[in-house]
Order: sequence, then C-alpha cells, then structure tokens
Amino acid sequence: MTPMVDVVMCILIFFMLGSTFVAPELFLTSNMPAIDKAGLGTEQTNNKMPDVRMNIVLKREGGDTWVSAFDSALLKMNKIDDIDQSSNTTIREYFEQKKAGISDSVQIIVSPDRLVPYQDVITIYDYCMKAHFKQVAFAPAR
Amino acid sequence: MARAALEPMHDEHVNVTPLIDVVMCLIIFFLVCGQLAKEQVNDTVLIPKAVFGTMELADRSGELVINLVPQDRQPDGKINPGVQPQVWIRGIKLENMNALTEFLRRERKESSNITIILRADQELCYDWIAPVLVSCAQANIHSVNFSTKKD
Repeated sequence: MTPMVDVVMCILIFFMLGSTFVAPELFLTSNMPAIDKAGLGTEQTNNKMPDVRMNIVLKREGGDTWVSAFDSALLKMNKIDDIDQSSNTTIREYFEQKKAGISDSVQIIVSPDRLVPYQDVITIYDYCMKAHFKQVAFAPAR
Repeated sequence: MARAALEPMHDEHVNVTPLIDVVMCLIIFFLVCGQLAKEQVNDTVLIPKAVFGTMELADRSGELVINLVPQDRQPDGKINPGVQPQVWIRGIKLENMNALTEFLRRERKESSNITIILRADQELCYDWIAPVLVSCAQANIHSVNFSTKKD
C-alpha cells in the first residue's frame, strides 16, 4: 500500500503546483465594443451617444505602427518587446496630459488600420485606461 | 465495577484507506478543473501584454470566452496575418464571423447579462479583431473584456 500512497501523493503535488504556476490573466474592460458598421448605436435605446468624439488613429507603415491622437502629428510606437520604450512613454504621457482638458462625456474612438497588430491596439487601449478616459470605443478596421 | 479495556490492535499498520479516498477526490477535482479550463482557454493563443489590466472582473456572471486562434504558426512563432483565425467558444469551433454573430444573438436571447472575454493572439491584425467587436455590438452585448498578461 505504501508505494501506491507515494505515487498518488506525487500526482497530487504535481497537479497542485501545476495550477499554482499558471500566470493569471488580466483584463482590460470595455463597455463600448464598436461603433458603426451596423454595430453600436443601431438598436433603439434611451441611451444617447456622446455629442463629442475624438479620434486616436493607428496606421501601419513599413512594419511600424504610427499613432495620431487628437489630431496630433504621427508618433511612432515602440514594439512591446523593445528595451527602449521612450516613444510609448511619450504617447502615454500625451494621453494623460490631454485627459486633463477633456470632459468624461467625450467619447474616444480608437481607429486602427486593418494591418495594425492586436498588440499595438491593446497597448493604446491600455494607455487610455491609464489616462482614465471613461468612454473608449473601437471603429471598424479602415 | 471493572471497566472493559480497549481491545489491543492486532494490526500494527496504519489504516490509510481514508487518506487514499481523500487524495483521490483531490486528484479528480484537479483533473476536472484542468479539463474545464482547457475548454475555455486555448493554449496556442499568445495573448497581448498590458500594464494596467485588472485582476478581477466586476461581474463574471454570463461569462463567455471567445478564442481567436491563429492558423499556420511558423516555428519561429510568427503567424501569417492574412490567414483568417479560427473562432472557438466553449470548446466549439465556429465556421466564420457570421456564425459568431448568430451564436452571440442566441446567447443574448437566453441571458440578458453576458460578459465577453476576448482572447486573441497578439500578432493578429486588427482586420480579424474588429468583426468580433462588431458582432458583440450587433448582438447588443456591451461588456467586452480583453484578456492580457502582465508586461
């Protein structure tokens, strides 16, 4: 009986440790998935769409992603694994700076090109969350 | 009156049967949990990195995990962004985005409170992500959460 108990205990410890080492997933929450293309705002509802909208445009050129936020000039994004994240830091600080002068009722629309990688879209949305923009929606691919 | 003494133990071995019962139950628990988690979460999806994601969702009732699984991943980990990814929900593969919209509409009819968790590969281009978001909006589902890992 003792060898069986040993084996069973090993299996149990394996499962327990296996479940512990799984990295937890984090969530970026959104209450406005998409606009237009018969998406959000097409059903009759009492909720009014915000009057003011501001755009964050993401473009893909030469293997790099460029951001134009609130009609600014294009800013090049760093890749997420680059050691130098100075450009991304500039973008994040720019968002935070802009938020100080924008009301919560303004809707921010993230509008990426169709070839922009999902990682870059999430990075921009991440910075919007950091800047505490309350209403962020995604436009269909351009 | 003399008290009846306890009978001496004839067997010197400890009775391990209850221990094995408990340990077996724990093993079955972990196996079932692992299987259920595997149905919900696809291991082949490399989710994007983010800094400001939250650990816990405010409301996890009616949770629906959508996995966008890239096809033909190269040995170096790169994917072909032009190839349409597979859509998996609850271990079921959907044919295309139209099927996703129909699926979400059916779910929405059955439950008014649905929370979507989108697990898409970090290298997929936005061309494949946007239809999922539009499908959610068309199904009148406004709570969409993006699954990320800590940068």
